[in-house]
Amino acid sequence: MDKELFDSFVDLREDDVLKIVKEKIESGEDVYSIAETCKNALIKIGDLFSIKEYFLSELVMSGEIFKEVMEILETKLVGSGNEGKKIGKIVIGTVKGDIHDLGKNIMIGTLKGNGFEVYDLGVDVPPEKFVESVKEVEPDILGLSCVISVGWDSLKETVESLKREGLRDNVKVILGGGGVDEEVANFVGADAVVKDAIEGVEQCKRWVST
Amino acid sequence: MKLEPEELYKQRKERIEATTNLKVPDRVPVVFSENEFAWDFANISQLEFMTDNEKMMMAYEKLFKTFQQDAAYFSPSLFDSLFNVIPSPCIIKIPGKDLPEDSPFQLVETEIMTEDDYNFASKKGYFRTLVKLLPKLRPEIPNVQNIFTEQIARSVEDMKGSSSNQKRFIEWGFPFWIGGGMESPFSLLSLMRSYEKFCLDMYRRRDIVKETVDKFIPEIVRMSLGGVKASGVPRAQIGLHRESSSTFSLKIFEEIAFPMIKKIVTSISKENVMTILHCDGDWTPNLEYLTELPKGKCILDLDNSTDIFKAKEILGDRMCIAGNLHEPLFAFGTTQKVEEYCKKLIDIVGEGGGFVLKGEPPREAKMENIMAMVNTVKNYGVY
Repeated sequence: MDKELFDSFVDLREDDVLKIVKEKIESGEDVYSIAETCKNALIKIGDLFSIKEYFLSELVMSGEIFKEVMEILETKLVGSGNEGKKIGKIVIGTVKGDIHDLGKNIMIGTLKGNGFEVYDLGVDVPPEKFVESVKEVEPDILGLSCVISVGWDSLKETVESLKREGLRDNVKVILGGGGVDEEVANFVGADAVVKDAIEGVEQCKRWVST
Repeated sequence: MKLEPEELYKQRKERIEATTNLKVPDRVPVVFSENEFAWDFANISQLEFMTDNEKMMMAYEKLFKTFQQDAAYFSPSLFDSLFNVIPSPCIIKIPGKDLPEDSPFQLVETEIMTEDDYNFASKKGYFRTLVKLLPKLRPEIPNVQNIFTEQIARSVEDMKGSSSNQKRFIEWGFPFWIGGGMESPFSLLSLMRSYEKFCLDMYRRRDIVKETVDKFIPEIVRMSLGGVKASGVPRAQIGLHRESSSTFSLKIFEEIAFPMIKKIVTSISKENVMTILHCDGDWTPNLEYLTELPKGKCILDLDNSTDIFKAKEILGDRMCIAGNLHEPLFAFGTTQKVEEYCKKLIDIVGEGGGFVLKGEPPREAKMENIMAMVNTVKNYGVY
């Protein structure tokens, strides 16, 4: 692992990271190992977030740098047989009645950075659309985002619809967003509620590793 | 002994003023934001509540006469999608038009202001930037810039409408919690740029972000004090939605957000007005910074994300603290749970005064839970 690239990434020095990545490609270095270094930097940034040295603003910035790096690497990664193994599948969306997508988008970026295959259904998603997608994609996890209290009933309806269709036991349901907490999770019948993207990804990883 | 509304008004006003001035009142005051709950409680739609003054006031009257809390949140006026752009510079989805009639209105946060607009904003200030961006913010209104400018000129009359509503609250015996207010420059910029772009700005163009925040401060202070002057209520609320550790790092807080807060509080306090710092998100790691704010000049209004007990420990001798019953507790909690939490707040945060029990009941709140909050201060919150 390249220390200079790793450190530049962890320090969020965008220009340095991109410069190093380009130089490495020009000198013919293995793109997969460049991607690995950047993924490791993302994991380190997640750790710094957990101990409150880094905050959401740093997660967003690191996601942006990672996206830029991947855009550079993408053409080289495809066909190399090293696209990276996916560790799990998740369907995610903001529930019916709620059109907030900020937290959901950050969660998606973090999930992708951690090797999940993500199916984003967008915002204001009705229960039947979640059900349809769970049937089609057969994900390990269903992520429901809800920021305002209007979404509480939609959360419950979504979980109830999964039960009616006999799908509830096939999928873990995780809640996130400013409008949810333990009390809401109990009301809804979800498997977990998390307060940020890092906690969310950690929970998802635990589920897919068991 | 049953007091007349006039006496109740006086008693409640004194109770709040003693508390906010860090004195020990007769008992802990209780206040809650009513607008999410009031319309459903009065069996009218959100749309009617937003567009029909008589129905809105009927809903408020029913609510206040039922719960008898210590203050009304602020003097209400009807919702105006164009006017609403001033505190919320975002595309808006409106009940009855873009959303179901019983839905709250919702903001769509997209990049309304581009990175190129920083030059203009940092030189011309908030209001002119807002006017420049209006065609993007309200694309459905033709000729929106002219209409907006004319409407602002007429807003003095609108304030009269609001002041006749204010009189009715006073007649019912209720003073107001907030006199005027505005969102902070940092939060406004974050909304106009969109949160994610604003994060990137912190790394790519931090200097001009700082300049722009600085440029907006005097306008925001003026707007807040305008409301205070019109209402006569000596408290200006500054909405701090994006400043906490939930959204930006402490480094950014230290460099941009906190110097802004300090300037705002200092300017507002020069006019003998207290600043309500309406703090969304988790401020626990930010609390130490606030010890630098002038003593007795602000009110720290916290939601459930911040450790309010820690806030009392760090800031209790410097500023009044208000908070922090959270939405799900009103909806899913039991009266016993509400009472227990209120008692804990009264015991710890209320010790020695300087505490306002406050909550934000959602539409789904159980009536008995709101009543439990009000009754707990009345029975248990007496000093």
